[in-house]
Amino acid sequence: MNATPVPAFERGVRLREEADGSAVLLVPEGVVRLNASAVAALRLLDGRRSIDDIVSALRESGYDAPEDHIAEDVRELFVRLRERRLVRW
Amino acid sequence: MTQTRKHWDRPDFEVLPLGV
Repeated sequence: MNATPVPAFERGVRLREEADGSAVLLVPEGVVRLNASAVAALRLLDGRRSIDDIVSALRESGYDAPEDHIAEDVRELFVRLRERRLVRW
Repeated sequence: MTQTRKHWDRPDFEVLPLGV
């Protein structure tokens, strides 16, 4: 399934993983703090996977939430990230 | 064997301007 946009980090934005399993986004103007679910989604952002691909991968990861909640949350996350010019498609 | 399910929170982020 690949009908949804394929997001990629905007220029100058990169994911920095920490030793404790957390991660932040480094951006030219500062740092973006992420919660665990946002980190899980952004780890799958490789410029090749569509948003639906990322949703599918997360659904199969054994989370304690209904699949439709995960799908809605992830789609909303990417829209918000795009509004802040952190990702593009 | 019971598989532990990971907790899902609504994904969120906060931009911290240089200052961090």
